Amino acid sequence: MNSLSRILAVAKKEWRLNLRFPLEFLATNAVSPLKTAILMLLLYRGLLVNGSQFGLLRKDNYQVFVLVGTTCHSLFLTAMSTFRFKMVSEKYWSTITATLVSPASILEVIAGFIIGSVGFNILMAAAILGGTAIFFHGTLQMYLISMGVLFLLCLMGFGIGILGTTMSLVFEGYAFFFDYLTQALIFVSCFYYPIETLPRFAHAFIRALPTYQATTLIQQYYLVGYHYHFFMSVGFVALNAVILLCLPALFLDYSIKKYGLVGY
Amino acid sequence: MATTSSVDLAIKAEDLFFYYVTQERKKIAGLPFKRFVSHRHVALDHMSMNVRTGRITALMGKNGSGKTTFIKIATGARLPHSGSVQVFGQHPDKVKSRIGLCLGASLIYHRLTGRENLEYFGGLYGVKNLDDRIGELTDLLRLNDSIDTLVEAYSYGMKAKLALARAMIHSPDLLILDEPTLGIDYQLALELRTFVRKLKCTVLLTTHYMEEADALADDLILIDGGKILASGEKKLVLDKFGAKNVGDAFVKSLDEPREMRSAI
Repeated sequence: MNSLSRILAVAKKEWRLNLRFPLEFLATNAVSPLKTAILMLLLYRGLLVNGSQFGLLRKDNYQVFVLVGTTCHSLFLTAMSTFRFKMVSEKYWSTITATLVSPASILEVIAGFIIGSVGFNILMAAAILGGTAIFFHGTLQMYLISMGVLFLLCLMGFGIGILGTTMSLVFEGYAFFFDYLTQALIFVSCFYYPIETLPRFAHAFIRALPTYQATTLIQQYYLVGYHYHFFMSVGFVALNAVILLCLPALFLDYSIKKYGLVGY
Repeated sequence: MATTSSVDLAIKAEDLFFYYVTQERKKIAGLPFKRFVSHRHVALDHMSMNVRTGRITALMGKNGSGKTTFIKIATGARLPHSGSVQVFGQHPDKVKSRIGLCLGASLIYHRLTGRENLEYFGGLYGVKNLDDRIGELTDLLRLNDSIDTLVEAYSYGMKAKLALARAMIHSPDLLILDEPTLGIDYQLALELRTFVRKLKCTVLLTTHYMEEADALADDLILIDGGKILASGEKKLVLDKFGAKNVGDAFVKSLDEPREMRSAI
């Protein structure tokens, strides 16, 4: 009960801080993903002609591929950057210490942030996926499973974001290194282009990435339905989500206590 | 204080050693420019001390003497490099809900109202009947008129009051006040001192205002360079230095040769 109270307290505080400037919040979280989606839709519309195929993409299905991909990309990116941005702000506001000395565990704080800061983005993703499912005659089951995988992708983004938070809070001088790595990860995760666009020798590595697996799971599910190792892939994504969330959280907690916050 | 049983102790620190790694720009032989070199700055030098329950203990020392570092370790925000600290007989992490920390006028969100701040921290500490508790604290600290105003519009004194209310929202058994009256006007400082004097909990106070320590402290701990100069009941410490007041004792303790320094 106390744990829930702490999670909700963090979530409520985040909502309040986000809605302090509601227009900015909406513009950042709603307009930016749409901008990417529109650009990609225009690009594929121009590239694909009747009868041509590019990986799974055809003239009649590229819309769902792009919408699912940009939804995954924007949610992953938001999850990855939100916690880091907020915690760095708290470092400079000097409020982070108050949260750290409170009885809230780092996992409770993170759960609160997920609800309070990424909740809106999850709702938006749910709306886009819902719209896509209706437009492409999807089923409720298809929609719910896709939302589940999307949520796992969000957790992975959050976990990787916690690593970035640790770099920014404790190992400031090496944070740039993390930025390059995450940019590379986003590049090879193939959110809105098929794996066939990248060199063949990299395919095995890319297929082992949980971010690629999660995105492709939803895209394939929408485009070709179940495949025989579908649930194995969901399990792989879920396992990675838990590992990627818990280990960085423990690392953050330990690093702050051991090395302290730097830069202020 | 050395003979006090551990049951009576709010804080028991043993042989605490802690250093910061700092960067200093230095001239290196053979190089035409200065470069940053890391070096260790010892903040707590094998320091042992006790804080008795139900007492107001003033922790006095010059800037950089290790007061705030000790507080960070006692609240579980940092880990010592060696030695141990126990709060109410346990590791600080296990009793976070019994500790209240006030670092001057900080640790509050300027983009939230006073009430929203108290609601957030009340939620983190799982405070029952939170609205009643907020009402009680705003009455006591005379914050009623501004409690629903954004903190960014508060004067420094009001922020200090809110920071104190925040630290006390969960009725802590141990209240740690780090320079609570720094930068606030004389009248408000008197008001806050009267408020602290009436508290029923254990208070650990750091301050540079000697009259504040004179007015409030039951026990004194004088530190310098991360080492204890003297500690014990205020009267005994004053007697030890033949001092009339805390300020006098503090100055004399700094003049005392290192080998003569000892706890009472």
